[in-house]
Amino acid sequence: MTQVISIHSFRGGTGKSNTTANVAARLAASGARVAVIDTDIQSPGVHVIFGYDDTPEPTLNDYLWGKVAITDAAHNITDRLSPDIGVTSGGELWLVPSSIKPSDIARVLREGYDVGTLNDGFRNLANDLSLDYLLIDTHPGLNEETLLSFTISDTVLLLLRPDRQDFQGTAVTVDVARRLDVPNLFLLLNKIPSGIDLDDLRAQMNTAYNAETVGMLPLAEEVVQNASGGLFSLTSPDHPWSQQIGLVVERVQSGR
Amino acid sequence: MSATSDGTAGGEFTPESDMAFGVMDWTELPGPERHCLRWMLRHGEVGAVEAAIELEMSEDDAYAVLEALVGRHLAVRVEDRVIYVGNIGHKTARFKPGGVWDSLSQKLIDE
Repeated sequence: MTQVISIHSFRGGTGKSNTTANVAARLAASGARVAVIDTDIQSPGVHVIFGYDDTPEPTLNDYLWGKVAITDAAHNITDRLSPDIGVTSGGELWLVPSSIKPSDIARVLREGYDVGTLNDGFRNLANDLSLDYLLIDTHPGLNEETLLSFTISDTVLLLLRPDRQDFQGTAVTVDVARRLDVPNLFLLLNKIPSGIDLDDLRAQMNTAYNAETVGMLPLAEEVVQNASGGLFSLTSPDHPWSQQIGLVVERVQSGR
Repeated sequence: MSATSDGTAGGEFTPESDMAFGVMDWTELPGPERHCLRWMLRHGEVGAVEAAIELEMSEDDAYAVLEALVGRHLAVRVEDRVIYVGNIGHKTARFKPGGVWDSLSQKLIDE
């Protein structure tokens, strides 16, 4: 049975796509069959972290417009994992990108799309590729397609920064996720400045949201300089940021 | 039903209604129906026997849950089986700004 994981944040700029790509890559490197689907159709970006300047075609947009099957829009990108690390036998990684073409984004904004079709795509992708994990990179905030991804997910991973707006928005999102019966609700704090008492912060988070904090990613100059230019946790596995990503991966794996 | 996330006014979801079933309406469903609908979304076509196992209830009770979903037009019956139908909120365009997006997207396509 495929584990469906939605990676979400209430506000933009939390590092959602970067986290999605790195967690997916680590899962695939460990021997799992993994797909990432970019449902941030208005502002897609996860393809950049996998080394694409333009989105490979066909895209999720083409599927939603009835032009191709969802598996046709799933590009095997296993060879884009860092050549410095070995991929355990059986490990595969696919990406279903959203189009970065301005005309395609404009069309989605103008016409919308059928949310039920998107759900069919999730299910067919999981079944046809025999996935162990399907990671859904969502559009920030609360909207219909994000809520749908919550309802069909085994796990929702909520990213937030140590910021009052993020804290408040995350509280709203946690409430909605609970009302939608999400089985596993995990929090991941990102961009934590140095000098903060992490134990105290974790305790505050657990109390405020009554949800498990599965990682605390530091605000790291090296990650910023990487500028979405690759899979940082693979190229710099010993960095504290990468080690926290490793903890997230272990927690996700233990939930299977 | 509660108001949907796209601002549609709330009210009972009926076949005559042109309201789409929004995901937030999900929270208003009784527990077994919510559980069953979630399961159907993940699995696609399901029947009463499988539903009874998933919902941990008798086959008759599971059938009643499936029929309730059919009654709400969140599922359809095909012969003796009930299958999920994608009726959980057709997404309309986010913006209706008097042709701005029409003009822009046509311009982008022309370019």
